[in-house]
Amino acid sequence: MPWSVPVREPSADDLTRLAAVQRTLQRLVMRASDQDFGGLSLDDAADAELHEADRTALLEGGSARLGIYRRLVRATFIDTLRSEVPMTAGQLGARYAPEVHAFCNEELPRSPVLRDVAFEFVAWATPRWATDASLRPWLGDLARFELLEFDTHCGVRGTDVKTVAELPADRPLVFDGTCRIGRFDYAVHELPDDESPLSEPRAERHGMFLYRDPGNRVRRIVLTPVAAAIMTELLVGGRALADAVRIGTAAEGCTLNTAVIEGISVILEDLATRGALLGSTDSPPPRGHALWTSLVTATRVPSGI
Amino acid sequence: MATASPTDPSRHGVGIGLRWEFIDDLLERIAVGRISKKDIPFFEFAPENYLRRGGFIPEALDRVGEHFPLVSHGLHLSLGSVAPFPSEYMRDLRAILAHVAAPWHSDHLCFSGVDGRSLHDLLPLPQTDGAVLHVARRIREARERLERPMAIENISWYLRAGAPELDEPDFIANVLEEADCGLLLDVNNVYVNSLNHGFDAREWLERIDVTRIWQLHVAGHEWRASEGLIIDTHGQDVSDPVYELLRSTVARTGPVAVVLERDSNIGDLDTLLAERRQLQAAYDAGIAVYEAAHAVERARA
Ligand SMILES: [Fe+2]
Repeated sequence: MPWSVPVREPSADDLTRLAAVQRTLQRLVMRASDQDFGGLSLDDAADAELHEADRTALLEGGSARLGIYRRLVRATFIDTLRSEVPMTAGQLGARYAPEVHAFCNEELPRSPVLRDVAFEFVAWATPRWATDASLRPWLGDLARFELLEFDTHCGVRGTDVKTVAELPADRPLVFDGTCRIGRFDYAVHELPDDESPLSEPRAERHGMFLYRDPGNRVRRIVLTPVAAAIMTELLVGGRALADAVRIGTAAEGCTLNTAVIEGISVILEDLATRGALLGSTDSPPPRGHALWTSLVTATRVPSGI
Repeated sequence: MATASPTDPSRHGVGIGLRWEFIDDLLERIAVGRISKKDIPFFEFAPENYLRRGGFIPEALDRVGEHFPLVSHGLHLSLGSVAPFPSEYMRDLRAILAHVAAPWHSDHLCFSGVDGRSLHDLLPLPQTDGAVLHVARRIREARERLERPMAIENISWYLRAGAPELDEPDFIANVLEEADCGLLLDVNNVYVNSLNHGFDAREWLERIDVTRIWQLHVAGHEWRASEGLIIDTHGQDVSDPVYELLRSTVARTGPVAVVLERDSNIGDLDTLLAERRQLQAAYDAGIAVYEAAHAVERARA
């Protein structure tokens, strides 16, 4: 689309000056303390590049005013995150807001989509929660589980991948776009969702496969650790069926035997019946793999999918 | 000569910002034919809330779009930022604007982060010639990449972002000229700024070139004693002075798209529709003044 006015470009100096102002404002949002804003100091690189006139103008409204965007930005994050991980926020109680503040002090979100901020926060926070003895050891699992459900709820249905119904062993499988998988050490999905601080989930390693049904309800399937490892290789790793079974089994220190193959066949057949497994990619198999004939037969996707 | 406004009569009058708080009620009314364009001419939606998203929420937007015209109003182009636009975000945004056949796209005259960070807020730009040239270049880039006409919205600002070389009406006018884009004039933001920074909102508004105005926003605000400022919360009813500014602005623009923004204390759909009707009455009063003035002009001609 052409524009009708002659175009003028900003100079390098214009951009340097603008960048210094923007970095200074962002640094004010990241500032750990809500006090002492008057000290816009020269020891910061962004600050050092700030034009003296811009520094004077920023300070014009008084030092308290410099904290306004810090307060507004963080209030938005505290509200938004609570709506996406309400049980985690409830469990954190009085620690919740300080955790969000710590995230803002050290990291800040990166995604332009607001609902992603909870994912960024949890990814940042869970390693520190894991080493904090004052917090319950399953808090990270709870946060990841809440987000996994939320993510399943938001998933885009279907797939752009060309799919065939058969499941040869040397091809990756194709799942509906709403499918998600997580692996957990605690049965956090059994916690009552009333944010009760007294409930304790059982310690139990397991996997959780989630998808959204045609009525847009999120459905969960609990998996054993080995099934979860295999399904993770399939869904997240995009590995060929045989590779996923081999790698997933080895990762869990299990022997690859008929029981494992039959077990995963049952799961895949169930997922196909539910419409969560759509088939396999239609790319030609690079080489044959006779061992997997029984698996292919057992998991043949019902016709019509 | 300004690029012609892409607005059309189907989006004239007072519409409402689409919010999840009343979406169930709205869909039920649509299903039984209990709401129509007579009750509300169009809805505004925020595309960022629908990006990379499936399920009920985008399905609801499609359903609303089948029965009402839509306008899109973005939250995170960060038009004034010195950071490049994220490619994935631009691609997804372009796709959703194409999907709903948005006649134009608007976002704010501000920045929302730098160095790869997203503050999810509208931070002010310095009112300088350099900032004008930079943001205008970005608006042109957004127009190309999103394949839509672009409008920018004036924000409520609470901190002077550096030493100004221009006052705000000149800053905005220069951006509009350099980018050759439209203005989404938020009348409430002008009023909030006038109280916080001590200027006359009417005089400010009279300096805006009406041929650039493609859309108006109205909303509520509140006094926050802890800040010593009026904050543009979108959580209260529209105030009487903002009604008056809406009326006087529409008297200059003539038929235009107006959106009532409500983001907190939303209440039920009936309450929102009642407030919309009151705003429509103010809009109609403004249109009557506009028509009378133009009738006199035509008679003179
Ligand atoms: Fe607005």
